[in-house]
Formats: sequence, structure tokens, C-alpha cells
Amino acid sequence: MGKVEIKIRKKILTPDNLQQYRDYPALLKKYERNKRFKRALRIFIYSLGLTMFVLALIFLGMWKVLEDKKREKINPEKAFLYLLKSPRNLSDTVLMELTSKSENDSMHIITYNSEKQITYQFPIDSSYNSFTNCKFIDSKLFNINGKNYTVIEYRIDDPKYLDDETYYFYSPDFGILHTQSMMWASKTLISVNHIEKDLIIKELVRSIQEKQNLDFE
Amino acid sequence: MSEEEIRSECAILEKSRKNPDEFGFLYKKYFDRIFGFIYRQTDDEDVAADLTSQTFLNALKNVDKFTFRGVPVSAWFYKIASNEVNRYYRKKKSDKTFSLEEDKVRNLYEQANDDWDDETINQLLGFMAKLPAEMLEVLNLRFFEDKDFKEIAFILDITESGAKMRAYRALDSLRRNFKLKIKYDGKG
Repeated sequence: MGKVEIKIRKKILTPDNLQQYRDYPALLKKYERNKRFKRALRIFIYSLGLTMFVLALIFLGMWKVLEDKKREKINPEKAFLYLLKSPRNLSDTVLMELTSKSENDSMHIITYNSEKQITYQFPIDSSYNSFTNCKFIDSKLFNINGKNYTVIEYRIDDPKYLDDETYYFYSPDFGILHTQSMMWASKTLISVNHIEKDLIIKELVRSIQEKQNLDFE
Repeated sequence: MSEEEIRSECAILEKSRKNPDEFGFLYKKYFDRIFGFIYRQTDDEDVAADLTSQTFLNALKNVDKFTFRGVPVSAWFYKIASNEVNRYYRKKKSDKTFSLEEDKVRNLYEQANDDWDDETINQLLGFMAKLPAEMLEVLNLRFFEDKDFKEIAFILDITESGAKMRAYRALDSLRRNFKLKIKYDGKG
């Protein structure tokens, strides 16, 4: 605290002197105005906070979509189907780009692009078996890291070759996971250029191969 | 002030939480005293009127926060007023002014000493001006506002023994320099 100045004054304050300053209604009015202002300010701050929160959510959503798109651009989902134990000794890795994957009320339709474009039409269940030469055999659920993945087994009869049957194991999430044929090379999906998905695919393929003879017909 | 009166004023304050009109009774009762307290520390009627109005407005705005601590409601008003005065001087960045009523000083002096002359009073004021503002605040509340040490401690946010110590030191130095016989209670 600084210096102090002390004065002596003759003037004495009396209730009559102070009457001009005593104004309770004015004080109440000021109080009400202040209260209204505070309430309005509080509403404004809450609204602002809520708006900011909603905007943040929108931006976060947009950012996530953009990031996903960016990631998709950098790492387009490509399926590598690996040829296993070919009877004609044609073991090789082929790059098959998954160009489209869709589903209607009767079929899973999946298209790969390799040297040429191949489209597969897999029936959703056995009631649509008569629609194509691809037959729905069975469907199984596999639980990996707490999430269920459906794998459907199909049999495709090639009319050109007698007794040629190829079994396809299809995942609505990842496409064709594994094929098994007596005539042609077996194929296994080994990567879609995505670390986490690749681990799931690896586990699914392992499960298919392990249970193939037990669970799938 | 009796315990019953203190309780009854607290009850009024309690009621004014729901109905601000109730606060009017306390406003009317303490307006003059709070005005006088502020005026003594500002020496400006308009400033005192503004700060008094602000004091009661703050009290009304914070009536929900008031908790009874064994001191009268008026002590709470004095505390707010004291803070308002300090804020005013912080903002103004000027020396603090105490304007003491001549008749009160004269009364205090005459109670303690038979001889009254202007020169002695001027010397006394000059001496008081050299006292720290904290001591003057305690003297102001003790001898011009008739507050007990419990209330002074509450108003200035210090301990009761701290308030007594400040008053004792200020009075001791006045006694030594001016042969005053004022006691803690302001009596000779």
C-alpha cells in the first residue's frame, strides 16, 4: 500500500444528506439487468460451446473421411492371390486388383482385374443356386479378435471340363480368400496391402484350411 | 448487537436469496454506515455513492455465497466495501485518503486528553499519516465504526490477534508521542 493522506473535515453526514444517494429501486433494477445479462451470457457461452463441439465432430468426421480416402489412394486394396501346389507346377504370385464388390438381393458380385477382368457371382444362399453354375455349399462364422467374419463356401463346376470342381471360400469383407481345385492350382489370398486386415485374412485362411475337411463339406 | 438480532438479519439475508425485495431492509439499515465508511476513505461523495451502490449490488449478487460465521451481516457489507475501496485505489493508482470527521477526532481526543488545540491535532494527523495504511484501517474500524476485533478480523481478512496487534501498535505509538490515554475500547 502507498502513502496515506489524512484530512480533517467539518462536514458531517446525516441521513438527510444521504437521502439523495439512497435508492433501492435503482439498485434492484441494476441487479435485475445484471442477472439478465449473466443469463444471456451463460446461454451464449453454452450455445457457443455446443456449436464448437458439433463443428469439431463434423470436422473430425470430414477429416476421417478424407484420411480414409487418402489412405485408399495411397494403398488401393489389391488382392494378391498366391498359387499354391499347382499340379502343373505353376506356383506363382499374381496380383489381382479388387475393382468392385457389391451385393444385391440374390448375389455377391465381385470383380478382379489382373491380366483380364474376372467377375464372380456368388449366390447369397442356396435358394439362388440355380441362377449360376456357382453353388452355395455352406457358411461359417469365424471369430477373430472378438469380431465375427462370415466365410461362405461355393463350388463352381466348369462345364468345359468334366469332373472339374473348384471350391471357393468367399468373405463378404475381403473377397475370395481361398480356392481349392483338383485340376488347377489352389489360390490363397495373402495380402490386401493393409497390415491389420492382412492379419485377419491370414487367420481366416488358416482357419479355413484347418477346418476345411471337418466343418465344410 | 445481540445474538438474536444477528440471527434475524441472517434470516432476512436468507429470504432475499429468493426475494431480492427483502434485501431492502438491510440496505436501508446499513446504507448510511457503509457510505460513511467509504466516504472516510475516499473524501469524495460521488465516489462514495458509487462504491456504496456497488457494495450493495455485490452483496445482493453474492447473497447465495454468504455463510454465517458468527459476525453480524453488517461485517460482511464492510468487508465488501473495504474490497471495493481497495479496488478503487488500485485502479486510480493514487495515495489513499482518510478524511476524518473533526467532531469525532475532537471527541476521541477530549476523551483522552483535556487539552485540545489545532496545532496538536495537526501534529497528530501528520503522525497518523505516517502510520501504515493497514494500521489506519484497523483504527478506522475500531474507533470510528465501533467494530469489535472479531468483526475487524473478518472484514480485513486477518486473524483476531493480528487485528489486536495492529491496533495495539498504532495506539502505543500514539500514546508515546502524544501522551494520549486511549485504550483499546477508545476510552481514556
